[in-house]
Amino acid sequence: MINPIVIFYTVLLQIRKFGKMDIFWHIIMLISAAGSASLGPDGIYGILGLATNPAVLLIVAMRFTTDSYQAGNEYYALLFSRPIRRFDYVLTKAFAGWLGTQFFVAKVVLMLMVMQLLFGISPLILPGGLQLLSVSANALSASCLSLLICKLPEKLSSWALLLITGSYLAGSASSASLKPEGILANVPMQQGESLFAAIGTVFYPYLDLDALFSATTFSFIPFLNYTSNIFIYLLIAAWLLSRQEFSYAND
Amino acid sequence: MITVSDLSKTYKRGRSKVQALKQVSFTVEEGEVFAFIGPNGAGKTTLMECLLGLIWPTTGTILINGHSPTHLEVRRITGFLPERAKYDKWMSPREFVGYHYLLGGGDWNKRKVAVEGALDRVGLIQAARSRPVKTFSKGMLQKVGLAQMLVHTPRVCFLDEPTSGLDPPGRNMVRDLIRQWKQEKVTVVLNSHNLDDVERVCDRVAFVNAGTIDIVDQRESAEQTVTVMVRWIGPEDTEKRLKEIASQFDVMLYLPDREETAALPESDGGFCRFVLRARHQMPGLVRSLINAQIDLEEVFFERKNLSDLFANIKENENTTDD
Repeated sequence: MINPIVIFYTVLLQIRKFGKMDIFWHIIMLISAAGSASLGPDGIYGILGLATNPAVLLIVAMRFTTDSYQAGNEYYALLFSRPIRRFDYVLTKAFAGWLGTQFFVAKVVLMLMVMQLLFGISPLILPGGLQLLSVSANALSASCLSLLICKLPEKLSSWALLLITGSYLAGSASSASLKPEGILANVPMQQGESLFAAIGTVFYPYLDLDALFSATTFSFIPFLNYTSNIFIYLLIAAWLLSRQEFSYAND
Repeated sequence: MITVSDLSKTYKRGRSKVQALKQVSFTVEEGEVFAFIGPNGAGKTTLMECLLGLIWPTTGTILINGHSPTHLEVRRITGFLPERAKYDKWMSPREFVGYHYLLGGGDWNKRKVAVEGALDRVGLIQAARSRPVKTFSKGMLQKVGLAQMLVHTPRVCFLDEPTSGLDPPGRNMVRDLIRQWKQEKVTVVLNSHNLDDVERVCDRVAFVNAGTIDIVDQRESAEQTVTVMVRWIGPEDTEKRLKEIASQFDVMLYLPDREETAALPESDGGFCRFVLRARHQMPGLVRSLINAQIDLEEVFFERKNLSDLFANIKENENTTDD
């Protein structure tokens, strides 16, 4: 089960870890929000789209799921000498990652709201219920995937992160550029998207509930893909952690 | 309390295999202070890690209170101080120790009292308790490590090099702590290179060497033969008085030949050896020497200590290798 103590201290640690780089990123976010709000609805949708992009969520979730991983065997040796099951730890870290991404999205939405009020855009442009639900679901998927990557052997995890994030970003970029109003409007959608987006969707399912429910033909396949992937991520992460030996020192 | 039976551990190093532990068996009783000593690479840490359930034995079993080391009931009563602990460096000692208190099943409302109590016990100064541990020296980190172990009053303690990096008062504090645990019937398993510490506090010592162990009972060795060397300056009848004391205590007395004494630079006196059957005879003997008004220049005792035993093992190992 999810361990509330680990969640509490993971969040506390993030607050403690808040350093100069975090201040820098928050200033960048604030400037982006101001810029987006000044551009009107298109700009706001743009920054919302970026903040809720699964690849971005994956990177945000990493921070909440990797803090202990970076500490190495000695950290885990001490942690697992306490009465905590390894599977519970995996579940807890996944939840912590999800919570962290929720904070991130909430922060962006809040910033945009403030900026809209400051720039006098009326009515306020806010993400809809289904959009927020999609973000929440994708944050969970991002968190579970980042957890799995953390539990992989170090070299493999770097490559996995690069492959999945890269393919997803490339997929998103190609889809965006292939929109009818985009610069490659004459290139058919399926061709451009196929490779990167396919990799991204298979390994890292992205749910767009708004699009799914408004589509003329509703399909359960994205839901199945999403749930099965989450289940597999957690299962593999728990399996990797459960069979891992934590040698805290060499003789 | 702790039962280890036929424990073996083999590591795979690429295509080759390294056997770190070979069919090790021993038991540790409740309230006993048990130590592992041995050369580097002997398998001490592997043994400790197996006992903590952090690595899996290749063969054999470990039972702590009748359960496997990974059992949550065992973990609830276990405290562990690693040699090189990695802490969340942004956390303060209060937060870190509090975290481990709660992970160990501690009550949220009693957290502050328990944490402050543990930090007081290891002598961590008040000013350092709210600072991130990343600013701490090795000795201070060791104190934080000890506090995280103490905070939930464990019944079985595993300590790996507990005095490493500590100043003399810190070392004394650890020794006192172990002695206190002994009185409270807490079982302590200690891994240390500091033979002096081990000798002072341990009941039994396991010499780990090339994956095998030899156990020495410190309590028995304390009862082993002790030789007291006495050097005196004084009148010629001193020897006669020494013989009287020897017969009074029923101990053996060796007096060197006259020639041997004369060869010494301080030949105006003499020296002798009392061979005592047990260590407890020593204070009485020394008191008698003083009461007999013997003009003592030097009194010291010789006893086989862990360093000698350790050196013997190393010597035997080298002989075998040759």
